[in-house]
Amino acid sequence: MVSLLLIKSIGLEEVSKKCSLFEAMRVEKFLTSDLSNERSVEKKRLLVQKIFLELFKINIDVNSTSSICKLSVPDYLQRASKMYEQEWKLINRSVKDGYVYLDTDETVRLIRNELSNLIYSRIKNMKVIEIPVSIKSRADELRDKYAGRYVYRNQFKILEYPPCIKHAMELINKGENLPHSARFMLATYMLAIGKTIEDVIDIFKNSPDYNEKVTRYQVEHLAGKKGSHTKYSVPSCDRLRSEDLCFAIKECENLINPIQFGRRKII
Amino acid sequence: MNQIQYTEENISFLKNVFRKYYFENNHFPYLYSIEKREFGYRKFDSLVVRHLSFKNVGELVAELMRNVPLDVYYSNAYYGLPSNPIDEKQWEGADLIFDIDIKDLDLPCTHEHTYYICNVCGYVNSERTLCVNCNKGKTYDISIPCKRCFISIKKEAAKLLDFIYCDLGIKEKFVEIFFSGNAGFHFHINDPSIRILDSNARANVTDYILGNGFMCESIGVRKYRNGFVIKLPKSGIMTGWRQKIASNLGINQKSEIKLKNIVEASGGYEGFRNELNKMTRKNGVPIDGPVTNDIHRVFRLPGSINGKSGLTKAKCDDLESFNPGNDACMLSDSEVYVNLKTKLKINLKNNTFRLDDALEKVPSYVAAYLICKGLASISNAQ
Repeated sequence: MVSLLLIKSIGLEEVSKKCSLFEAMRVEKFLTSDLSNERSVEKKRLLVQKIFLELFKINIDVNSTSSICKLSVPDYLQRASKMYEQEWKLINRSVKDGYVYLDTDETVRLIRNELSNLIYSRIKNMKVIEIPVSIKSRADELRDKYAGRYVYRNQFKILEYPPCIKHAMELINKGENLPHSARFMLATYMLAIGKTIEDVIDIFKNSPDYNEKVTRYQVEHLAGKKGSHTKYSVPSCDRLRSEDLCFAIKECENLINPIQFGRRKII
Repeated sequence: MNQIQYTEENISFLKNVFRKYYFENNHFPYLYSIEKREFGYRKFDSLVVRHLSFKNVGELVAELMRNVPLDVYYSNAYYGLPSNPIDEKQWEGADLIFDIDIKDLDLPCTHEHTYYICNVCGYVNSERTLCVNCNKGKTYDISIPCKRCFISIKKEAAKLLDFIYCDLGIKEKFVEIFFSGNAGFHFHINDPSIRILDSNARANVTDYILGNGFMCESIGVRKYRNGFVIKLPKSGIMTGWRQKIASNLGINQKSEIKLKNIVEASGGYEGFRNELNKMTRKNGVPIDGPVTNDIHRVFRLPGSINGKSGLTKAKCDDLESFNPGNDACMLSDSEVYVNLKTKLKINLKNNTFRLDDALEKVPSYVAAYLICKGLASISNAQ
C-alpha cells in the first residue's frame, strides 16, 4: 500500500510502468512456484483455468500426464507477438491442431505483460484523496532525482544508417520502385531520427511514381499530423525480416529495431 | 501493378466484354458482410478509387456496370463505417489472407513464357533491356504461366493447406481458396477467432508459414561457450515445425546422441544453424508476407475480373482438378480481330490457340487475355 502511494505520488508514468512490470514479475515468480509445486494435475488445472480465464479471458488446459499447458493459437499469438525474444515466435513453439503447448513457467511468462498492464491500470485509476506528508516529501525527492532519467528522447544522434535503410535508399536513388512496406519503413525511420516532413518527402522524389500530394499526405499521416494523430513507429527488425526488408550485418546483432543501429548518446 | 497504357479502342473493347460479364454474372456468392467492407477499383487509366461502400450486391453491380473498372477490390477488414477515412472506419476485424504467386517460385520455365514489353511504345522485346524499337522505354515483364507453373504452385498450395489445417487448426468451413485470376492463389480465412488478430500477430503467422526464424534451441541444440549442448525441449519435438525438422533430420524425442552427431557433422552450432535455415526455407511456403500482415488492405474481389488477364478470381473447390484457363475464363465467345505483337500459343477454355499471324480472328476471351497482357490490340478489321 505504501509503495503504491509512493508511486502514485511520484506521478511519473515511466516509474508507474516499471513498478507494474516488477510487481508482475514478482507475481509470476509466486505463480510459477505454486504451479510447479502442485502435484495434483486437477488442482493445477483449476488454478490455471481460474486465474487465466477470470483475469485474462484465456482458456488454458493442462495435460493430465505431462503437465504441459495448451492454449489456442489465436490466444497465444495475441500475447506472444508483443514479445521481442525469438523463442516466442510461433515457429519456435510446439504447435498442433490449433493449439500451442507450453511449460507452466512459459505459460505464466506469457501473461506477464498483461499482468503488468493490469497493475498499471489499477495504479492509474487509484483515487488518492490525501497523501501523508512523509510519503509526499519522499516522493518529491525521488521525482527530482529520477525525472531527468526519463527525458531521453532526442538525446541520441545517428552516426550511420542501418543496412535495411541503406538498401532502401540505394533503390530509391536508382529510381526503382519500393514496395509499400519499404516506403513505410523508410519514412517512419527518417521521422524517428528527427528528419522534417519536407526532408522525408524529398527522399521519395526519385520514385518513378512520385506524386507530391500523395507523398505529403502519407508522410504527414505517419508523422501523426493527419488522421488519428498517431505517430507511427519504425517496424521492428523481426517485422522487417518477415517482409524481406532486412539485410542484417554483424552490427545488427541483438538489435530489435533499426532505430537502435549506429546510435550514440549525446553527452 | 498493370503498366499497360490502353488505347481508346482497347478500353472500349475491354469495357464492353467486362460489362457483359458483370451484367450476366451479377452476383458475388463469396462476398460476406458487404455492408462492412470497403470497396475500391482501378480504372483503365490506372487511377485507384477507394473508400467506397455498398449496402448490397445490387448497389455494387450497378457501380460496376456504370464505371466498368479494370480491377475491383474489397477490404479483408470489417468496418463500422467503411467509407470513412482510414482512421475513422472503426475497424472490427479482418479475414486472414494468404497469397501465393508463381513469380515467387523462381521456376526454370519462367523465361520460356516471359515477354518484355516497352513501357513507352508497347513493343515486345526479347529480353529485359532498353526498348530496341523506340530506344526510350524501359521494359517490364509479363508472363503467361504454363502447365508446369500451375503444377508447382498447386504443390505449394497443398503445403499451405497442411499448415492451415494441421498446425493452425483452422476448420475447413472457414477456408476458401480462389484462383487470383492471373498467376496465383488466394486463401481467405474468415474464422472469427482469427479475425481479431493485429498486424504483429499475423506477421508471426507469416513467419511460421515462410519458415522464418526457427532457432536451433527449438530442436534442442543450444549454444554453450564455444560449442553446443543438446537439451531437448520439455514440450517435445514431435509437433509443428519441430516435427518437420525432426523428420528431416531423422530424429525423435530420444535421439540426443544422433542429434549431437548431426550437429558435429554440420560443423558445430553455426554450421547447423545454416543447415537449419536452408531446411526451413525449403519446407516453408513462399507466401507474400506484407499481404498477410496487412489488416487494412483491399484485395481482388472474388468473382471479379483480373485486369492483368481478363480471367476471373474464381473459387477452387478442388485445387487438384482446377484448371485456370478453363475454370476462370468467363468472358464472351464472340469473335473479334486482334493485331498481335508477338507469335504465341495459349490454352483457354480447353482450346489451344496458335497465333502466328500479325492479324488473327479470336474469341473475345482470347482477345481480352492478350490485350490485358499487353501482347495484342483490338483491330478494326471486319
